Amino acid sequence: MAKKVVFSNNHLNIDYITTYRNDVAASLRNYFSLHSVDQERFLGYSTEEISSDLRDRIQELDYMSSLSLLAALEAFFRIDYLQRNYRKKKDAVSRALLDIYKSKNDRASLEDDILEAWLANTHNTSQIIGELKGAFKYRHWLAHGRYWNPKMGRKIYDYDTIYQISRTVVNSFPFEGINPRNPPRYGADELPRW
Amino acid sequence: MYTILPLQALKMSKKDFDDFIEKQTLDQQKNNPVNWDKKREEWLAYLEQFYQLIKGFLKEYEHEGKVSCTRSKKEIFEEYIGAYTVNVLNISIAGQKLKIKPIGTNIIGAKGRVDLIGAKGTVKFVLVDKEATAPTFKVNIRIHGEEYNDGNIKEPEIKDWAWKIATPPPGMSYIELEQDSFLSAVMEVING
Repeated sequence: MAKKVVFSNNHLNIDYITTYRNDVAASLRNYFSLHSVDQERFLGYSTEEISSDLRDRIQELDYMSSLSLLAALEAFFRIDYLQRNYRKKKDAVSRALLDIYKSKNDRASLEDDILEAWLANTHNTSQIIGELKGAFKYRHWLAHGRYWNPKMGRKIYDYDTIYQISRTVVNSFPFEGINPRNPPRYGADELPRW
Repeated sequence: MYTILPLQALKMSKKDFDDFIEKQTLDQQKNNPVNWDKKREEWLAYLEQFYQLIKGFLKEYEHEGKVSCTRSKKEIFEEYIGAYTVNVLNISIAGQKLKIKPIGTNIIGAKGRVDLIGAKGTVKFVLVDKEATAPTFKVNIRIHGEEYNDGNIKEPEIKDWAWKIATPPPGMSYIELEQDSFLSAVMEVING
């Protein structure tokens, strides 16, 4: 019998990531504002160069925020996968996930195992899971250093579209044993150790 | 770098190639029944409609010489559609340069997107259902075997499309594209 995964309760939620992203974007706009610009830091810059730097920083922030959103979605699906097994749920999705768990334990593939089980045992999931799989290709590209020209499927992915997919997933999937709206629980005595 | 093909591959006949093409065509028709040429033409027509709207909003300022608009070309590549050329609208307002840049038609939750880019930010315009006030963030997912009484829910077919301003997350909603909302968007991307 495989050991149960001990949940950290540190998983991110969508609203938390979005608020964090907006706070940082607002701070960046303030930092790059001509009214308050750091004279030493931007000595010799033209206004166009300052604007260009701001656009680059926001783009980088959007990449990082998209990565966080997709990481949060993976956590929701994996916690749900484990909880359905631990709680011995009997519905069609839980039974399919249990079959995967018997052979793969906590090493199931998100895209090939878990999402496929959801797709095969639910109605109305083909479009959202298709979009989710495309989005996970985007995450793969982000997480591995963006060194190749991506081919992510039919759709164009950016922060706003990743947010739309994330929000739709959180609002629609009946996740077990997890409240995707709970903020992460931080505490000085709970820093992860490896 | 050279790739050495196995001898067997080199001996493939024209018939093998014909079979290959036929299979690819059938696969494409089966998996990909969308008429992509038609989709591209529709998108380009809506894009031109968008530019005419914007020109109308700026007309009085153009006449007064306070705003100038020029067009340039940009190539877009979208999967299944391929590469095609679109117009980019460049706007000069009181020393500020703005760009209206088409993004594409394969957009999640929309039929097309155009970005207004200024020094301090970007505002997104999306081509969506004329009646929509916000993106739909819920899918009615049902687990097999579970009871439900809502019958066969079908996505309503969208008959009328309209350009709207998409507000950023988290409170994403659509604002009607009118002169006032467009001018507010212009000020936002200039002032931040």
